[in-house]
Amino acid sequence: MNRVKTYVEGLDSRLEDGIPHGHIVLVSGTSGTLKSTLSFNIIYNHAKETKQRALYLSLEQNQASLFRHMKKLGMDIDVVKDYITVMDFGWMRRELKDSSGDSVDWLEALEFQIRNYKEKEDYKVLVFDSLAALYAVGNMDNPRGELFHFFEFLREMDITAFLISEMPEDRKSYGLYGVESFLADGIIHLDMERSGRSVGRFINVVKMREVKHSTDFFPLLVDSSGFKIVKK
Amino acid sequence: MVAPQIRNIEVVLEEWMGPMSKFVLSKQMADANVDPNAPTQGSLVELVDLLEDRCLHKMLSDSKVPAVKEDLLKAIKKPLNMEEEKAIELNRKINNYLREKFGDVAIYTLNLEKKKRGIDDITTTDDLLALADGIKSILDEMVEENISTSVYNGLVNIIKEMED
Repeated sequence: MNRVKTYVEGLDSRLEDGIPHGHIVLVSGTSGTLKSTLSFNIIYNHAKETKQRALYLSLEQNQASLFRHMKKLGMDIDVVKDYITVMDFGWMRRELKDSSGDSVDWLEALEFQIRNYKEKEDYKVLVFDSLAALYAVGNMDNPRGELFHFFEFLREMDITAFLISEMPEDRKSYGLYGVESFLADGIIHLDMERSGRSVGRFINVVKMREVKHSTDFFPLLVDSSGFKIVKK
Repeated sequence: MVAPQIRNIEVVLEEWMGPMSKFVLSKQMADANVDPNAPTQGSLVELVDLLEDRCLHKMLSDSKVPAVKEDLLKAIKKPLNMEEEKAIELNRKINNYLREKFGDVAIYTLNLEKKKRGIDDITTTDDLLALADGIKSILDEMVEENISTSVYNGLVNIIKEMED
C-alpha cells in the first residue's frame, strides 16, 4: 500500500512506514505546537522524495511568511517549488473583508479549488490550514453536517489530506465540534508541557485506521535537520 | 452592459478561482478604476497587472502564472467589428497572394507601400484598391507589363470578392 511518511525520525517505523494513501488525518494541537510546520515538513520531504505534487491551502499564513518560516528551519524551498503549490486564501479573506465577500460560500469555494487543482495538477497530498480558520469564515449553519460532507468530499478526491485543527485549551477534543475526530482516519496530536522555564514538545498518534501503532506520547525534537522523536 | 473584455476576464478567472472569481474581479476593478461598461485599454492593462500581482501569485503555482496572464491579456484585446475582421482577412489574402507570386520580397514591398500611404491592416476597400495601384506601378518598373497587370488584376479580384 502507498504510504505518506510523517518524516518524523523514529515515528514512521512505529506507523508501519507511514500513513496509508487516501487517509484524512487531523494534525491537532493547541496554539504554537508546530502543526503547520510539521504538516509542511511532510509535503516538503514527500515532494523531495517522491516528486509527487502537493497542495498547501492556507486560510491563515500567507505564502511569503510560510516560506520564510520554513527556510529558517532549513528547508530549501527552491528544490520543491515545482511540486508544492501554496494557495493563499488568507489573502482572499482580507481582500473580501470589506466587500460583498460576506455572501461567499467559503466551503464551496474551497472545494472548487481542491477539486480544480486535483484535475489540473493531480497532486497527491493536501494540507488544509486550518479548520479553525474555516470555522471563522465559514458561517456554517449546520457545522457537523457540513463537516461530514467536507470529509466525504476529500475522500472522493483520492488524496492524503492533513487537516490542521486547533484544539480547545481544555484539550478535551481534537477539534472545535468534536466530530472531527470521528470523521478523520487518523489523528496526530502535538502538545507542549512547561517544566520550570523550559517547554517540552510531545507527539502522539491517537488514531490511525488500518495501521498498528503505539499511542504513546513521545518527546519531540525540532531543529534544522527536521523532526525526531526521542526514543524510549 | 458589461464590456466583452470584462466578460472574457471573468471566464478566465472562473476557470481558476471558481465561485470567488467575481468578488476578486470586482474588487480589483474598483482599485484599478475600471469602468465595467466602457473600460479603456489602459485601465484593462492595469487591471491584468493587478490581477497578476494580487491574485495569480497567491492562488497558482509559479509555473502556471505566465500562461494564465497571457490568457488574461488575450481576453482584454479590443474586439473587432465585422468590417475590421473582414479587412484583416483581406490583408491576409493579399499577403498570401503576393507571397505566392513573388516570395517574401513582395511582402516587404507591400509593407513599404502601406507605410508610405499610412495604411494599416484595418482599412477600407478604397485604400486597398489604391494600394493595388501603388504595387502595380512598382511592379511595372521591375517586371514585364503583362505580369504586373496579372498581379494587379489578381489583387483587385481578391478585394472585390471580399467586398461582395
